[in-house]
Amino acid sequence: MSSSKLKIGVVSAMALAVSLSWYLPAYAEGSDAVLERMEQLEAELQALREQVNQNAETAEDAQQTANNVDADVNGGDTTWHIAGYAHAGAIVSDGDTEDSFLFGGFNPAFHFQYRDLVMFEGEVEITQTDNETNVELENAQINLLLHDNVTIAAGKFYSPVGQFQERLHPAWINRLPDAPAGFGHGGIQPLTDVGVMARGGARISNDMRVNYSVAVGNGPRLGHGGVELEGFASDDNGNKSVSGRLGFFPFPELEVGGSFMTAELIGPEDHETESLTDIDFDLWGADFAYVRGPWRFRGEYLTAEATGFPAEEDDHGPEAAFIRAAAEGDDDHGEEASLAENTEWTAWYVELAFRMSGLTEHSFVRNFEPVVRYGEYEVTGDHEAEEQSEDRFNVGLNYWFSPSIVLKGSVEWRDFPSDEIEDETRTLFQLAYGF
Amino acid sequence: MRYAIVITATLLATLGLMAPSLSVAQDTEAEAAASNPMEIARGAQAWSRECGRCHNIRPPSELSDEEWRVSVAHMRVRGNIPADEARAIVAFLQASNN
Repeated sequence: MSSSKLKIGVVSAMALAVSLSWYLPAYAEGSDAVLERMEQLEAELQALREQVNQNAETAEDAQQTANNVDADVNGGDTTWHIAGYAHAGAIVSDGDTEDSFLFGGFNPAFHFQYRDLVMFEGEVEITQTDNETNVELENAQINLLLHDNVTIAAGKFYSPVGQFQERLHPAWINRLPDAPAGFGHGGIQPLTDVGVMARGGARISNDMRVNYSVAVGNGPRLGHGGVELEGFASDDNGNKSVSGRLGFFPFPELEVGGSFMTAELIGPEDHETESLTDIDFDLWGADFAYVRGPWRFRGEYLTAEATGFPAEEDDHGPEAAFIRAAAEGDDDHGEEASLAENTEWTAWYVELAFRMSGLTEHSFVRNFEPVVRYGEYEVTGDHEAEEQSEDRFNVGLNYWFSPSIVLKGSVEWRDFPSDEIEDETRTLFQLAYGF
Repeated sequence: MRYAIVITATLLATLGLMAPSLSVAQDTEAEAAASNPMEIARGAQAWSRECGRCHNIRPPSELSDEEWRVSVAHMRVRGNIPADEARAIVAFLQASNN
């Protein structure tokens, strides 16, 4: 190698060294910045992770809260339903009844169900008289749905005796504006009772079925209206009533049934023993219902007797006044009862309705439904109670706006066997809505 | 009569203790009925038979699924309808009310 080439090499090496020495500090400075940036990014990433986790926890909390609210609003395993009915109408009479518009009533019903275990049903009846609004508890019963064929009901329930009171009395179901003579309020068919009841139904074959109801309750009492067959909150004599019904379907369209009730009432004071008497009240009945297509044909028969009243003291009859056994909250306590002699009651009716949809598909005509009903109510024994006897004949025409909205019109002939009450012909109108 | 009340109360308590297991079984059967086409068809037949016996038949569209469940339970008690038929009716109504 020549000396000139060696010099050039040394100079080049020195120049490269000088150049590198200028760049190295800058390279070192850039590397620190990257590291610093990475650390910063890692910190930001960690913060984001924490934020995400926190958000997830918040979302879970929110979901739980939403579930809780949903359970509160919808009841979780509890579901509910408000039903009921309302009705209004008018009456025109050629007798003592004044022609009037009528607010029949508003009956809201509440149904609550916990799974397929418990079902509560309660209904109140709100009615209007001239001076006040009346609110009465119709029924409030807790049903334990024990088995496919057994339900236990406890509380205040509709009497299982017969069909009209338990199944047919709501205005949107009843085919005529009022009840048959001897049924409904003031009649001989028990309305409600307070106690426990076992009931259910079972299929015997594809077409045949039976159903049953057996109830033990506080039972009826003697009161202003004779025997008051309503559910009392307490038992005035400690003697429970037993009632029930057995129904049988020989084929799906026909149901026949038999009912009974036996109870003991506190009667008037026996002047010989100077103690209150025990009155036996026994009732039995039979009913049928045939429903096929547009036809509805049904009937009921009830007979009852109250026996054990003390013998007459003189020509004016026995002393009717008696002291009822103390029963807390009984408004009738200590007042007179209208019933003072052994008495028998018999009430029956048959009713036939035909929906015009069985004859025509005309959109207007098909909604009409002619109805006819005849019934008798006979009371024998107690003179004052005998005045309730009545033969009642109804011819009616209904127009169904929907399956549960109906306008009814009916002419009603009422014949009273008692000479003290004039016969009466009434025209009744009623608009009923079941919801 | 006092003994009758005690016996009745004891019977009710015993039945009440049995009830939760029965309830689970009935819930399961209700779910099975809802997805069984045969049960739905059976429910349609029972719906027309049972509901029309006392009142006009109400159309399925009147109530929601949950409301029908409660309403039919109410009628199961009032009309003494066997529970398997009531479940079939609910299945039909819930399948038809859309």
